[in-house]
Amino acid sequence: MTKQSELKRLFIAWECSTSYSETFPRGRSIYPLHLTLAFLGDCKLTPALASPEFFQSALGKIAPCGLAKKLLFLPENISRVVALKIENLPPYFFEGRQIIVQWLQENGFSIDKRPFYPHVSLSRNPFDKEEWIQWFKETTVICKNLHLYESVGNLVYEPLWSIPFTPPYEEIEHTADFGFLIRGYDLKELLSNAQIALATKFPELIPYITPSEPIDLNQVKLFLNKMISKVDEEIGSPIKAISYHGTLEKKTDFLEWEMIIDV
Amino acid sequence: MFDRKKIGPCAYEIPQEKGMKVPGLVIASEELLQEQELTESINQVKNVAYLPGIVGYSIAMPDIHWGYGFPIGGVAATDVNHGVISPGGVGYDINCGVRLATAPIDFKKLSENDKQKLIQEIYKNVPSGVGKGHVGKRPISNHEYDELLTMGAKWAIGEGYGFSEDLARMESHGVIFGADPTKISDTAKGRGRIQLGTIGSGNHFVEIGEIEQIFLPGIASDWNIHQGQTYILIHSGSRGLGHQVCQDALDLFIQKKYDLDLPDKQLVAAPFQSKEGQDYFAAMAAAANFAFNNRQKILHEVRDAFYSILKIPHGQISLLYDVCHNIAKIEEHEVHGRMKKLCVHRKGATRAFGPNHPELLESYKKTGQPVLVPGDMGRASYLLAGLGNPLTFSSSCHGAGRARSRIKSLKEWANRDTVEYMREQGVIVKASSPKTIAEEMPDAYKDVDLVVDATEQAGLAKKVARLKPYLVLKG
Repeated sequence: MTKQSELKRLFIAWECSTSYSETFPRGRSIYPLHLTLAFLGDCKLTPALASPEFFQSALGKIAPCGLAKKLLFLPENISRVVALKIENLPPYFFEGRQIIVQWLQENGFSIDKRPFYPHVSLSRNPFDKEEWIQWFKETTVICKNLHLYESVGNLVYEPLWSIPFTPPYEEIEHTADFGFLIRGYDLKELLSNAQIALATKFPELIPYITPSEPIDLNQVKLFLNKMISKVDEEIGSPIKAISYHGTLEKKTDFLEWEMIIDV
Repeated sequence: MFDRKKIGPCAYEIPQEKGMKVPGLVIASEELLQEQELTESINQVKNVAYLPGIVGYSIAMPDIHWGYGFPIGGVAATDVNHGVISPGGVGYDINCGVRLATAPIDFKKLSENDKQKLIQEIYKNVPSGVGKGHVGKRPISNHEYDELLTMGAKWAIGEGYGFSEDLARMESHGVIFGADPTKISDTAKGRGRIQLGTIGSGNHFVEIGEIEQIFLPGIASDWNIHQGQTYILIHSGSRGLGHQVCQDALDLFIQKKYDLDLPDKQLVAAPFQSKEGQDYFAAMAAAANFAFNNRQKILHEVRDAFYSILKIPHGQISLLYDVCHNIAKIEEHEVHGRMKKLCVHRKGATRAFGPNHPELLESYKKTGQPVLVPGDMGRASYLLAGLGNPLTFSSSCHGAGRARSRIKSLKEWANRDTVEYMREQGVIVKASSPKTIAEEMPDAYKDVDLVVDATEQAGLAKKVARLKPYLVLKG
């Protein structure tokens, strides 16, 4: 029988960030922000779980990113948590999670059977629901590293292991304008990550993000420029165009493109 | 550092490599060459030299910095009969340019209260920043829109935004002929519709200050300026309309596979005489005319502010000159001893016709064309007189040139009160976004004194006056 002292409250989660620059309304803020893949509850840190190799292989190389267009108060009736509902996550996010959940179950861990709704908790009670509703703005959510966290109480989460992932995009130096390195497993994801990169810097673009299935890099650029034109026509765009500079680099595991933006 | 051969004061030739149709030419002092990372921009100078029909040199001005396709601060002239026109060689902000006006009052005579009220009034009159259009004003009709795209600044003056004398004091008299509004997409028109008379964002501005130093009193006298006088400098372009015109042309040219023999897709260029080339030129000219109108309308709003706060009549705010620094112009230049009609692309470069050029107003025929060189919002801007140097197809620098990226500047100034810092330097800055101010702080730019010195030593233009900014409205 496992001793109580050997039990740890564990969960596997992506550490993530948002495009918010302002401080949150009143409440007990959660830090670091994270997107939980699997909550394990009070359990023993087995040697298999203590080793991160399997999790890395299940989730590939690139960290996922998505959008939050809705605020959640959980649970619905007597809310204790304010959270962002995360959308636009890539298919590999869900596929990877499924592999991890299956592995955990096969290794004797009890996983919540309820449907999985990706969310990022921002704050715990006490909070003023109305204040949060007034404050809320749509945001991008970018995952960074994957952690096995131990919840040690008082909203303190200690990583027991961490796996670094390649970011879906990175801002790069450009003397006159802005640039990003955009990554994706395919062109559809490259486009999606490019849109999220732009929206992270300029959140007013979020409502204009739509999926598409480009067949080449030119189509990615055309699609982005159409989005920018629409934004400029309707609300004024902080960016003016995506340049045609830059080619598609095929790395070992993913595609990479240097996106230069005229401002 | 790149392979180069000195061919004159502040002039370095980059040898022609395989694929380059002409050598490169960099105008810069040793100090400028040493103090900046030039690898990317010099590669871009070399890439531009691949353009079919390019003549002379692929040229970099002393304010050169890394762009995409063309470097910023680049000049390329192509033969109109056998060469190409490249939308990337003009840039997205077609006819981005600068105009300089003077007020009949010495800056030191303005009280602190007047200065505060003046910049506040201009901030109120001239929309600046992202998405800022004229709210509540009558939108222009389609017919009016087509007229302004065809007529250039004459349209704005006809609408009461200025005086007919202003026209003579603009490059090409405020109109690029050959404009055809039917070559502009509805999207482009839609983007520009509410943006007439607005600064936009980024590095655009309205600046007011003092003519700090006169270098050539004779020319200063001819141009009716004196030390201590108040000046107004306006920097803006064709806004969303120009961007879309560029984008539409790039998309079409790439679709037509005009990029195949070029090292960078952004250089894509159609033969000047082709339908695509001619259509782009007609659309570019229309966008350039939008920009002339834009700057004319902004000047009108500034004149309103001077009248409202200082009771200086509109007509006493005199336009000195208006220059384009993102444009392709059809000009005649001597190439290998023969006069040729060329399409001169200036992307971040200013035309600098010398004395006696037939296109210039009589008063400028004697002196050479005024060349306007905005620096940064803290140190200085310059007024030069063009020398018509054939080596650069009568082109000069267009500004200080960025030395530091926007990200670096933002990081450098994060959590610091930039407005207060500038106030301590004696400059009142207003902007709709504090981020813009951080991106545009003076140390993000090269020292304009060095850039202008190199320009003068290379014989492109000579210094007439140094201008010191004190009131700045940023985009």
